[in-house]
Amino acid sequence: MVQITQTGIAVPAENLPELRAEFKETGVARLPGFLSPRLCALILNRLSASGFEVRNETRPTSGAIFGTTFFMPFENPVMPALHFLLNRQELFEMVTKVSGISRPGNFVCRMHRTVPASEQHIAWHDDAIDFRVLGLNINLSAEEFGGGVFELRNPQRHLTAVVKHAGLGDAFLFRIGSGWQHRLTKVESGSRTVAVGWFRSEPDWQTMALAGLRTGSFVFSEAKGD
Amino acid sequence: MSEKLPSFVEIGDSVLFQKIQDEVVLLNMENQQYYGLNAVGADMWESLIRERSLARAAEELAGIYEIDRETVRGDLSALVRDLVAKGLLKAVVE
Repeated sequence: MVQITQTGIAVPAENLPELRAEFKETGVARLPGFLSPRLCALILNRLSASGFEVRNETRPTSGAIFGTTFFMPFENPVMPALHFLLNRQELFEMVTKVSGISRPGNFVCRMHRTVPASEQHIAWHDDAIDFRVLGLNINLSAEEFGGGVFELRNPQRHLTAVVKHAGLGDAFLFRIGSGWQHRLTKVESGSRTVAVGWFRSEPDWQTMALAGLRTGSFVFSEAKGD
Repeated sequence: MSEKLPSFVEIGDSVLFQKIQDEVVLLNMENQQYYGLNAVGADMWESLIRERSLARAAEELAGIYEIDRETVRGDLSALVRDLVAKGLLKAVVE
């Protein structure tokens, strides 16, 4: 099981062929137990005291709204912790081996929550902006939810993957760009909270991190829409 | 008066870290502070996290750096006191 813990990341070599085959066939690679229970507890502790705010997802070119969810403000302390956890060379190596993308330079994410309200949805879109090369979705829902299924379709508009998050800390990689699109079906009960983000080709995380540490400005800019 | 030096330690409850090039960067989620350890400090940190015992870490580092264990022990003790004071390490009983 590929798993990030408080002290590192485990990437068992024997898991990689199966993940690679799944990704090639469906555009998705499922990573059950991706965040360790201890890390999930650390994040959930802080999430419980956090406020989410309603925000629209808009297409960068037209400005058209294609979704509405609750977003966690980027200034929330959970966000730098997630970026710190997920920007690591061992993870970049693993996703490169599974997906076949070139080695990413960094990972940037956001956190959103979706509830059974009529206006909450995310329609088909492709995420293909801002140097993004691969998606990652992590379940941080403290409670079970109904609906809220992630669907992926290929450039021929054929559905290739349907992912319903099951366990806290479970994650999946998903293909973006080149005509691949995804959406989130409506949440019918409970509350769905996920960290969703993208491996990007640039800039380089290590360079940014060391420079930021030395200047005291260790921050990421907020992920753009679509 | 300085705190008693623990014999065994582990990573603090709210601490994340990663190695970047030859340095270690730590994030304490409690206060959102980042800390950096240079290459020698990074070796000490990794040895402490792996071994948990100051004595075993000192022995390991003495072997790596080919210097006497007492010198390493002194440097390691100073670092451990600092890291414990900042909540980056915590004392444990084994």
